[in-house]
Amino acid sequence: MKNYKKSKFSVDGLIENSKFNYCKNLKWFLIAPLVIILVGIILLSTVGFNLGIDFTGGSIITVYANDEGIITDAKVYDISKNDQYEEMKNRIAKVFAQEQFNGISVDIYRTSSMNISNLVKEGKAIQIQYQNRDGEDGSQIAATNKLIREALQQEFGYTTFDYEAAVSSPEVVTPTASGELLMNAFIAMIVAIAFILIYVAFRFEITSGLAAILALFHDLMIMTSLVLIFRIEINSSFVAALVTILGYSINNTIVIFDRIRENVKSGKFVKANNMTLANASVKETMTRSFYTTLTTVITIAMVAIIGVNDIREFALPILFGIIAGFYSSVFITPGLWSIAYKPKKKKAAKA
Amino acid sequence: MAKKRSIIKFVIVAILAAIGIVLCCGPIPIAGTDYVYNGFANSISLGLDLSGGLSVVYDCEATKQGTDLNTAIDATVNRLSDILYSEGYSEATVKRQGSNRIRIEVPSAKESDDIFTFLENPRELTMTLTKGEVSEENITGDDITEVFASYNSQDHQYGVTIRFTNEGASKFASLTKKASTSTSKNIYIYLGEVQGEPWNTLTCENEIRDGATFISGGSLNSQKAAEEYAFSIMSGTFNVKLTLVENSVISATLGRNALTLGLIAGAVALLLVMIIMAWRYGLFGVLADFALVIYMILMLFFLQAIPFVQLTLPGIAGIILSLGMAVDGNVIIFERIREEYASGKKIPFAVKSGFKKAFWPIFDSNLTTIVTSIILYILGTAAIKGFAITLLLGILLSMFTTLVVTRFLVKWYLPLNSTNPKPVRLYRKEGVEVVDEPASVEILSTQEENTTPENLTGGEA
Repeated sequence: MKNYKKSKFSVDGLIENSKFNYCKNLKWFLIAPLVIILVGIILLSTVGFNLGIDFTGGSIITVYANDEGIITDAKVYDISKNDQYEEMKNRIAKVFAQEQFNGISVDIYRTSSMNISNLVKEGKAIQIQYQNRDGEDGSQIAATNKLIREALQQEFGYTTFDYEAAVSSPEVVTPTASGELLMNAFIAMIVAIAFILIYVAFRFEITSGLAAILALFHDLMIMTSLVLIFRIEINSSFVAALVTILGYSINNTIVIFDRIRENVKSGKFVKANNMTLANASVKETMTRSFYTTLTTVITIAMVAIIGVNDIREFALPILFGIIAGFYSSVFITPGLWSIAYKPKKKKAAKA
Repeated sequence: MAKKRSIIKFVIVAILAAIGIVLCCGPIPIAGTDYVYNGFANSISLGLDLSGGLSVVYDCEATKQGTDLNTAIDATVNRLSDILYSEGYSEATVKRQGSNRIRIEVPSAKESDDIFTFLENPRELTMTLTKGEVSEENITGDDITEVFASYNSQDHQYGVTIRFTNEGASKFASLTKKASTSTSKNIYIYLGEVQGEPWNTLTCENEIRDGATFISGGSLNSQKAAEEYAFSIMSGTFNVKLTLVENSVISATLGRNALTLGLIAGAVALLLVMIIMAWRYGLFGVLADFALVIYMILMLFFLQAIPFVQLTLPGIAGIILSLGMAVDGNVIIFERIREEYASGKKIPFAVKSGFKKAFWPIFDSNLTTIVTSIILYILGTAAIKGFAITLLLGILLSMFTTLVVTRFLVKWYLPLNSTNPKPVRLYRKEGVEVVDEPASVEILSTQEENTTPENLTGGEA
């Protein structure tokens, strides 16, 4: 088996000394992704996505707290405390329970810090998202939103409460643009994948190209499935997240294919089979894959932790995608490649 | 000698980087003048999602049969831009979206302004000589280039000024000529259908040849009314009916916090990544950190320098991602150097072949991402475009910092230390045969290396 010279200390001892074969156990490595994707498909066909306001349409009102909390006539709410948040939430729900707002479904969230001095502290703002009644047109929605804003003002009082500063104007989001957006993004992604296939096939060979785009589909599907499983709300930023992974995750695969190509050229593996070659290449690039993934995960995790809700909805899927990308480039693509690749030169040499 | 030169180079680059950092920050008042220097970071133009503002989407429908919707929409986009610009919305962007939609984005606008309501109520203007009758000579919306509210200070009257196209101007001249010779001397102005009582009447004593007219009186009794009519007459010339499909007021407060928090997240992440690099690669890592700082300075500079780049929320993610890829490039290089060193090569030789072998993986992986970002820019919707452009810029800069900046920094470092593997965290097992740089590699090496060969071999002696 070991007819190639190991480059000692090129990788961390753990990776270097392990007898682990990254390519041999492909079928076992496929179990976890397949299970995740299967659960994703089941969820998609039963409960579907947790669609955000971009898809369902509706309006958003944000109530901001200042240093003391959310100031109302009756009391100051420190919504970082659960009981006070619940009380505040109930009061908002009460407003929406009024007869004039029948047929409006409302979601109330506590969002991240809006205050830099309290960075990672939850509960500095309350976001009220609601779906307007079906069939209301632009001006009706605007009228309803005005009423809602006034009703909130009524509820919380407006003598001491600096209403204009503390409560945002309703942000109206209609879902019509989103279907189009999805379709456009989908087309853009398919075209991008086609170009990636062409590029990789041209720079490497067609087997690598196909394995690379299979890995891309894997990453995007895992990402989508995890978003379904964790019930992360999807908005138009999810599309941007998918696109991010499309651009990023191909890198890992290419670095490994590049190593395979180099190892083929070096002549060290003339007598070795595909699997040995691919496994050695994965091993050799393992530290790079690990450290790159680690630093990117840290970067994106930082964004997910610190960022406001909108950014978090964007960062979490990217985080899933990056991890999926690491997994596929190490455990799936090289294995697939070693099964599918038929080297022309090698056959000639053996004959 | 080579050592001294290296130190001087490092000092120069460090000073330049320090100046760059200062230039990024702002605002700095310049002493003795009124001028306040606004750093790069503050001058980046922000997209709608970060600055807050108004986003309006209209559906377009052809109003007349036989109109080519495509050209009509394009014409409407141009006219809308002009209107918004002349109304003081200089930051507003009017874009065509899909086949039959127009998106208007007005950063920093607060509430849905009246202008958008009037755009939805187009009033088609017709000027006719005979009350309630349509004839060939009539002036219609097609003859109008501009309509705006104005005030006649002599008569203290509000009204609208209408400017005609060249063709419209000659039509108007002949119309006024005919009117001045007629008994009533009137030109009847209709909004909408030409029947019954006109909206306004223009009395002409002479032929008017200057291609513009002022209409006042009647319902034009206030500034507000004049503006309202000006907008709706203007939108009546579009040949398309605009129906509002989306009207979002984007809260600026949320946006501003999102940006600040995004930047803080980026800074914290950058710091953590720098620590990891320094820990894993020693002084090489410190050099890479230096390159990353240069990358960030360049990124901020280009973001504010390139006119069509607007920073959006996905754009911030694009920056962070390309930062990750800049790190990746450095990781690939240093891992290679470690491998080369471990296989028995001396430090300068290991560095040289490390850089050489790292080139193609970096090139290939970045190029696929470049291809992806270009396609996304071409095909994507506004949000994706914002992401794609920052990603593209980020990758180009990250390739530059990795392949050029890091390379030079490491090259300059070698004369200072090319024998001791400890500060650069290189390891080799005992008993590995140490090989020196073969002559053939010298020939293969690139030009810039040949010009200063002492940098690579200097400390060896």
